[in-house]
Formats: sequence, C-alpha cells, structure tokens
Amino acid sequence: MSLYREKKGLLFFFLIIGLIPLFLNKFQAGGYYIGVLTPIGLYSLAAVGLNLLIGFAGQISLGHAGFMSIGAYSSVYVCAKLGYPAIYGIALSIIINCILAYLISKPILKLKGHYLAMATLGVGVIINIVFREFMYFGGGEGISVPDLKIFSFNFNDYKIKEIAYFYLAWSLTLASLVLSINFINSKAGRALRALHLNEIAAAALGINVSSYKTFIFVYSAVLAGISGSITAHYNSYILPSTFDLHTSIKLVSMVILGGVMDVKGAILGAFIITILPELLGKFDEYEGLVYGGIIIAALIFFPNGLISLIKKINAKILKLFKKK
Amino acid sequence: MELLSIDKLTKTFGGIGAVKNFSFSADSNRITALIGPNGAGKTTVFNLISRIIKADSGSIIYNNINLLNQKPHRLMQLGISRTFQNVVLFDNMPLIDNIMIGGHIKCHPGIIKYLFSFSLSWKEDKILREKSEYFLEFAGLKDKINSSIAELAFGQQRLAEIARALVSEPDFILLDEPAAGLNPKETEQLGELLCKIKALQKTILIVEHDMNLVMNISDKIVVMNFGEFLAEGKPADILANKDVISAYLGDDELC
Repeated sequence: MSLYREKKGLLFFFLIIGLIPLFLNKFQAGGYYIGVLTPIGLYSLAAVGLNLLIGFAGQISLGHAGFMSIGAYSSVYVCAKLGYPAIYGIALSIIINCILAYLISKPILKLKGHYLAMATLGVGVIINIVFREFMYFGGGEGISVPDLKIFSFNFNDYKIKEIAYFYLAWSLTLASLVLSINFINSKAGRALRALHLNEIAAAALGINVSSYKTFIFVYSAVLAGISGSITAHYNSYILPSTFDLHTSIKLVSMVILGGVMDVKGAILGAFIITILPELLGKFDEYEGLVYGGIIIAALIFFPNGLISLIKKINAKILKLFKKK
Repeated sequence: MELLSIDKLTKTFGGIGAVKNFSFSADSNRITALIGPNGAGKTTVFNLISRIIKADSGSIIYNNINLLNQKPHRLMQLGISRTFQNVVLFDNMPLIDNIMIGGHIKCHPGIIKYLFSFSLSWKEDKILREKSEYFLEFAGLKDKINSSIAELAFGQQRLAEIARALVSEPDFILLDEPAAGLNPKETEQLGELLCKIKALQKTILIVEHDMNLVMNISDKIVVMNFGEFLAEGKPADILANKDVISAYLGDDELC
C-alpha cells in the first residue's frame, strides 16, 4: 500500500538525516552546519502539528509561537525555579498546553477564516506580553535556562551539545511525523478533510466537528510546546521576543511554503525558511527583498507547496528506473 | 408503524414563519414524499430534522427519541442519514474516501488511539472500503470506484452521495431533492435505486419537485404550502386534491 511506501520513504529520509553529522564531522565547519540543522528540526516539530491544523482541518493559527513560549517558560519554571529535572519541565509544558489550548479552542474555534486568524493572533500577542511584563521570568530581559539533563546525560555538555540536540530534535520530529501520518490515514484524517470543506455536511455524516477541531488544535499546541521547551534548553537563554508574532508567522509560512496537503511539507518548509536567510547573506541590504521575492515566486509557481515539486521529481526518477 | 412523527413544528426567520404548526409522520419501511411549491418550507423541515437549524417549538420524535435534544452529529448514530440539495462531496479526497466517510460512526469512537495505532485504522478501513465499494456498486457506480470527484458527472455525484448515506446502514434516509439537475434517464435510474433501498427495509423521506418520480415511488405524499400542512395521502389522492392543484397552479380567480 501507498502508506507502507510513505513510511519507508520517511525512514529512508531520516536515515540520511541521521547520518549527516557523521559526514559533517570531518569538515572543520561541521559544527556550523549541524547548528543550522538542529533549529530546523525544532521548527519542523512545531510545523508538523500546525500543518495538520492548517492543511487538514482548514483552521488557521497565527499564535502558535505563544504555545512555544509556554513550553519554554514551563521548562524554565521547573528547572530554574523549582530545581526539578528537565523532563518534568517538558511534562509540565505538555500539561499546561493541553489545558490552555483546550480552554482557548472552545470559544475561538467557533470563529472562521479571517476572524479565527485575528483571534489566534491576539492569543499569541497576549501570551507574549504576559511573559514580557512578568518580572518573575525576567521580563523583557530574558532568563537563563539550565542544562537539559535526562537521567545523567547532559545534552548541553559543550563537547557533544550540537550532536546531542541534533539527534534529539530530529528524533522528536520523526516521532511526531509517525503519529501524524497514522492519524491522517485513519477515519480521523477523513473527518478533518471533510470538516475543512463543509462543517455542516461533516456533522450530518456523524463527525463531531467541534471535538475534532479541538483535538487537532490541542495536538498542534502540544507539539509547539515541546519544541519550545527544547529550544529553550538549546539556546540556554530565552527572551520573550524569541517567540513573538514574527515566529508565529514564520511557522505558518513554513507550513504553507512546504505544502499544506502533506505533513512532510512542514519539514521542507522549515528547512527553506530557516536556511534561506543564511544563504542570502551575500545580498547584504537586499537580503529581505530577495527572501520575500523567492517566497512569493514559490507560492505563485507551486501553490500546493514545494513538496509538490519534490513529488514530481520523485515520480520522474521512479519512471526512469522503471524504463530501464 | 410510525418511525418519525413531527408535531406542531414551528420555525420563524426574523418574523417570517418558514414552518408553522407543521405536523406529519413517516412510516417505517415506506417512502414518504414531502412536496410543495417553491418556498413552502420543505428544506427547512429537513434542516430542522437533521438539527442544522434549531426549531422554535414543536417536537420531532424518532423511535421515541426527541431529536430536538440531540446534537447534529448524533443523528447518524441514531440511524438517520441524509443527502443535500446541492451535492456535498469533498473534492479534497478520492471518491472512495468520500464514501468511506459515510461509515465514520462505525469506526472506533476514540480519536487519540488513532495517533498511536496504525493497525486499528488499517483493519477498519479494509472492512469500510469493501462496504463502500459494495454500496457504490449498489448505486450503479461500479466502474467509478477509483475515480476522483471531478471525474464524475453531476448525476453520478448524486448517486455517490446516496451511496455515502447508506454505508453506515441507517434505518432512516433523508433525501433532499435527489432528482434536481438530473436528466429523465438519470431520474429513472434514481427511482430504481430508491426502490432498491426501500427493499432493504429502510425508511425514506424525500423532498422532490419531480412529480413523475414522486408519484411513481412514494407510498405517502405530504403537501405543504407557505410553511403549513396542506394535504396528505396516497399519490392518486393527492393528484385529485383541489387544494394541492390550486397551490401549485394558482387559484382560478387570479387567472
């Protein structure tokens, strides 16, 4: 079945990703490249959840960086303020995001389209302001985050930090992808696509529209929260501005640029949105211009996301092999 | 035996009575047709039954359950499925998936379990797919099983929607103008399909403008006009009813 092939393809992709550090280590600049790939993995984690929300359920959120910051500050609270191990911080981030996203989703997901976009934008901004004004967490000055230690393994040990976070980020992304692919290839995936197009018809077919929307909102918020927690530990220091509106929009751009009808598109989007500014460094002051131009062009020529381009190339390669 | 009985149902939209004190019943294993001139409130009655809009007063009793206390998505579990006046198929997935959605309620009720288990949906989908293919064949779309929605002609989309309404094996099927936009041949096909569905011991409530179809297949016809009950009876009685004729063709005095 196609799903079997999809998972096999996924495994292959992650095997390559997993081998990258081994090759890069031979170069002097290896650390730099891995240092770029780790944030991509962390963004991917958040973008995968958002992809389900935007692409499959057809809801929009311009406030997901808010959930990332809740994840980050949960970790700070547990590790720095309470002194418990980091794993409890991640657990707390999951719990708080579950509860908060559930409470927010109940009134907010009744809104549609532009109104939902505005409301979620408001949520993101409010969360951001709370952390900026809340001096307990250092306010706008930010706060330092203790090392991520799981049992006695310290991820922040300077000798292995890049490699350790690289594998942590990408294995979490892999896990989230497997869960998401399971989900969308079941009755739940069909239900989400149905309510995306017509909520009334979906309800008439026996789909509990509000609970599906709530569930997918909470799921995406939890993934964003975990991503935020790990990001906090990885950066060792967090500022409220790390998770502001700009980050929310970046996440949505990743999802849309990568392709909304395929979860794997989120990874591609995260890759491009993160790496593009690095590649465009030589344009100096025109960097923003070129960056924006590339994104606009990509959306005009590949309205279904860049994943559709990859799929086309993939199909052509497969055809070539078959001919031989 | 009455499967569905509606009593004194009322619904007003901004002071205009769309449905006024409307009462009728549908017997089990029969085809009941709801007819009336444009704007009579037939589709409003349908939407009230399927809980898309809320009633002002009255009651809708199905199998001793008052539907007015039920949420829209619960109706499927009670055995009520419906089709729409403007065909609603989801063109973001293949036809077979569209039909499989009809069996949504027959799957495991949890959502979270589907995150962690692929084998669950694997097993369910296998059964559901077979069933969906069976009902597509039943509706006369055997050669379209692997098609996308866009490849279907409008008439075939109608049939597909009916097939979807059957997958959950409901007892009561609401059809909202299934013959609208169909040519005579397709309408004939539709009539045959509806008789085949009736033969499966199902109850059908149909809103329809095509009088030929209604007269041929219905066991009972309920006529409404301006949101009110006008007449009910066997097709032959309705054809002879003076009130019905004047409602459709207008009063003699006006001519």
